[in-house]
Formats: sequence, C-alpha cells, structure tokens
Amino acid sequence: MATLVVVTHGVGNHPEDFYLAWEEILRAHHPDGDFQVVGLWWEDLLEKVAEKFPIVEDEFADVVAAFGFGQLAKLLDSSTFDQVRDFFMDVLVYLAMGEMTDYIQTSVALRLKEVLRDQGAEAEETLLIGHSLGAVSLPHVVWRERNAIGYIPYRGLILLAPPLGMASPLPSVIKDPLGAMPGVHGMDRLQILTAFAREWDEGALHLLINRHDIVCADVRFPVGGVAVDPIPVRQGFRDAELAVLEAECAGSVSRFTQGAADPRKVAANHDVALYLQRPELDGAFAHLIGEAP
Amino acid sequence: MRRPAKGGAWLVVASLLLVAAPAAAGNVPAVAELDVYIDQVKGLAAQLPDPPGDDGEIRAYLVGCVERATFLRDLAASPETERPLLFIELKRFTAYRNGAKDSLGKLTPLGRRLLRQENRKAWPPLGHYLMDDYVASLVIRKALFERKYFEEDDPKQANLLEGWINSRFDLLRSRDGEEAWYRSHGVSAWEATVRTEPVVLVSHSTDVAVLFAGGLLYNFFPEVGQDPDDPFAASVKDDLWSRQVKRVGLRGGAGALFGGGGPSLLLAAGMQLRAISLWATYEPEETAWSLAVGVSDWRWLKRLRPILPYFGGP
Repeated sequence: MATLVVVTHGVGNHPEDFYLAWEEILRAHHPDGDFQVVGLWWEDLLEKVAEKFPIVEDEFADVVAAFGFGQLAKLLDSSTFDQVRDFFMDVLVYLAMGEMTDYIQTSVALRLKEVLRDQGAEAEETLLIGHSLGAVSLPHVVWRERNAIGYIPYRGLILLAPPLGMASPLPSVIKDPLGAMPGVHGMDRLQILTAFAREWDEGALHLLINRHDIVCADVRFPVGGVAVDPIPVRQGFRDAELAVLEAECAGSVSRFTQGAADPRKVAANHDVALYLQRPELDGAFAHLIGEAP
Repeated sequence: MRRPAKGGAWLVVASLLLVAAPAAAGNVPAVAELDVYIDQVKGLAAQLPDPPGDDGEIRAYLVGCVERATFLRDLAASPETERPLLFIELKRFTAYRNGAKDSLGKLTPLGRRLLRQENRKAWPPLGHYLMDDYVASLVIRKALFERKYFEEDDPKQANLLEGWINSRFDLLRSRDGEEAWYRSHGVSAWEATVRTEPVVLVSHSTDVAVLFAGGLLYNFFPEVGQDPDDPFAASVKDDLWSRQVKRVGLRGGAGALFGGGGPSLLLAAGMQLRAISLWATYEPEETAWSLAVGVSDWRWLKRLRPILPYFGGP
C-alpha cells in the first residue's frame, strides 16, 4: 500500500496547494516510490491569530529590534530582512500569544487526523514532513497525540530546517519551541529531546539542518573581515542537544552546508526546495517509504 | 459497577468520572489483549541481567507497566466493571506510562531497545483504544477555544499582555485532561482582559473618557460534543447563559476624562456583560462620582449608534 506523505509548510504566504511543488521534487527524486503526497495547510490559523494580536505586527516589532535585530537589518537588504522578520513574527504568533499556541496545536492536530480520515490511511503508514515553523508544529502535534494515546503512531517524521533549537531570550514570557511541547512541565531541554527521540524507531526520525540557514543554525556572516552572528538569540541546537538526539535515535540528525554564508543568500539557504533535493533527505525518505536501496 | 461491594464505591466511581471524564468513552481492550501486553512486557523484562546493573531504571519501568496492566486486566475480567471505569483506568495507565517514560534517565543500548519494543510493539494495540477519545477532545477543545477567543462578542483584537496573563496563571490557562468546576475539557472559563477602551459618562455629565482597564471575566460555555454525523465537527448546544449572557465579570481601571477643562484623572470600577461595561467612576480632582458606559468591542458602537446621542456620543 502506498505510503501517505503529509507535508506541512512553514512561514510565508502559502496557498492551500503548496504541497504540489513539494511532490514534484519528491517524485523526481523517487520516480519508482509508492507514495502519495498531501498538504497539511495551516496558514489560515497563523493569520487568524496574528489578526487577533496585531501588536505583534506593530509595536512588538520594535521590541524585537531592541533585542539586537538592528544589526541584522544593516546586513540584509530590505526585502530579505522583511522575510526574516516575518519568520520571527510568525514564531512569536505561534509561541508568545498564550493560549493561542494551544489553539493552533489543537487545530493542526485535528486537521492531521482529518487528512488521514479523508485519505483512508492509518497513522502507521503515514510519513510526516515539516519545514521551518511546520517543523516545530509537527513535533508539537505528535507529542500531543502521544500524551493522549501513549505512543506516536506515525511511521516517521522528517523535519527540514527545524527551529526547535531556538532559545527564547525571555523563556518566562515567550516559550522556547521545545518548551512549547504540550505537557512538558518541569522538563529541561535535554529531557524533552531525550523523551521525544526515544519515541521513534531508529531511522524514523530525521532532522535536516543547513549550517548556513539562519532559521536553524547560528550562521556567522563575514563583516569587515570578522565572522559575526547578527542574530542575538540562539537558533541552532547546542552540541549537547545534538548528542542526545544522536544517542537516543541514531542517525536522526543530518547537518550539511549549502549556500554561501552571505546575507543575500539568507532566503535561498532556507528554501524548502534546497532541503527537498538533499541526498540526506533522499536516503531518509526512501527508507521510510520502503523503497529498495 | 452494578452492585458495589462497599457503600462508598459509587462515590469513588463518581469522583473518578469527575476527575478524568473521557471525551468519548469508546471500546476498551479485552482481557486477552491485556494478557498479550503483560506477557510481552514480562518477556522484555526477562531479557535484563539479574541484577540489572545500569538497567535498573528500565527494569523498574517495565515492572511498573506489568503491575498497572495486571490491575487493568483484573478490572476488565470482573463482570462488575463498567466500561467507562475501565476506560478511565486505561487513561490513567497511559498517563502513568508517559510520566514514567519521561522521567527515565540514561539508558544502556539494551535499555533503549527494550523501551522501544514496549513502546512501539507491545503498547500500540492498547493505546489505539484511546484514539477516538483523542479526536473527540481535539474537536471539543477547538470549539471551546473559538468560543472563548474568536466569537463575535470578543474584541476582534487583543494584545500581548492579555495573551501572556491568560497563559501564565492556572486559573486562566487551559490544562489538558484537567477538570474543575470552571473548566470544560481542560479549557478554563476564566479570562483576564487588559484593554484600553472609551467610556461615556451618563450621569452628571456626558463627557467622554478613555480607561486603561483590567478585568476578570467568566465565559459561559455551551455544551460541546462531537457531531453525530461528522466526528470531526463539533456539535454546540447553547443554554440560556451561554447564548444570552456569554461572559460576565468585574473590572477596574484608570484613565483620562476629557471634560471642558482639559483631561483629568478618572478612576473606575465596573461590571462587564458581554462587550458592554457599566462603570462607577470617580474624579479625584472634583471628588465627583458618576456612572459611565463602555464597550470593549468597538464594533458594538455601530449597534449603539442610535442611542449614543442621548449620552453625548455621535
């Protein structure tokens, strides 16, 4: 039976049929693979919450600038900076608006179940792929399901450019993406990662991280002959966190370097198409859809 | 239990239902399925060395799972056990397992393999019985969140401070699986508001003021369940309170009164019903009390427009 591949977008303006572009690349790389791609669209939820809390788009942007993002603005052209700012604004919408995090997680979790119902698929034959902020919401959603039924029923989870390593500068106000996992009260980051990685079979969990992608890595850009990290918050996992993931679920982290550490390449280095064409993804995807090596 | 052996049994069952009432108590595992789980986990524990050495934690976890499963199995085997009680015990077993898994420390490669086998092979046939309840809880919680935050009477726009306060305090925030008199499926009926809003004095003068006001509101939730024709849709049944009153609460604030002599300090305490607040106001400079009306949702101004001229409005 064909593997159902449910893909989840990140930030940006995504149409409901965003998954078609993903499918085209996956098909090109796996022409003989027996799988079906469907999209888990949640753009409307982010917009609904952003509309409810417009201060994120207005005054709060100044607060973010006050955290030191002004340096980033100097490095990037205005268009690229707007994209980066929009990303962090969407992260804030998702994580900083109190019960809205719970609301979005609940709604996305329900949509995932509806997708499976509509496709007539079982979770055990379903592979989940998330990119960017979608690579945050998917772990949250499957963890919510795990809390309810005692295990994660999906065959596998692939996270492209996951901002899960991001550390909040004010964790008591804005949760870390890891701290926003439902029901992890009292657990530290290493405990959360340990518990999450242990829930998967070996080979079922994959995180793909481009070292030159500012969303999931602390990229240093050359400024006046000196390598500078212009973003004041930590985006990438710490070494100890990567070690935990690797120890608890061997082979779960793939780090690579693609694209120049150039402020003009910030968007390109985060592009989902870059990740979908990586050989690391080819291997993980082939394994999880049961494709012969 | 049809015929409780002891007089307090009904009370116990009633309290269990109150603590962890399932959103949808569906099928429950049969004795044979529980036996399979118990045998499998015992088999996993038997693979550990004796003494377990560095595998002591995983051994304790597996033994704990067997004990809980045996209790559940005995409950399932009893003809007096009713299905809702068994379902609640299955949920408690699940919560126990989750907590035990999360608190496991460092594991050896053998420990990791045994944990995976228990978790990915032995448990799923039991955990699968909770899936319908999980979907039901998603449907219901989503509907409750939308009633609380996105319904017509709630201001279309809120602010960061409200978001933070409502996620900060136990009384206000949602809690998965936690029930209390003020909660429905974990969603709290209480809500804090911190807003700037216009008010119009309606006694002694018709001056206009702007208040920075905080409040604690209680939302009257409707009865929410799954739509019988579509388990992914909510069936919402309003009662008189949830339909007509929707939310009510107390508020306090301070702001500026724009009278003839320029702005002056105005203090206020009030009560909010839906989007409308009735305020008792006090001007310290004039030592004057008054009454005022305010709206926390500016869209209500459209509805009030026909009567605003009577209160000094447009």
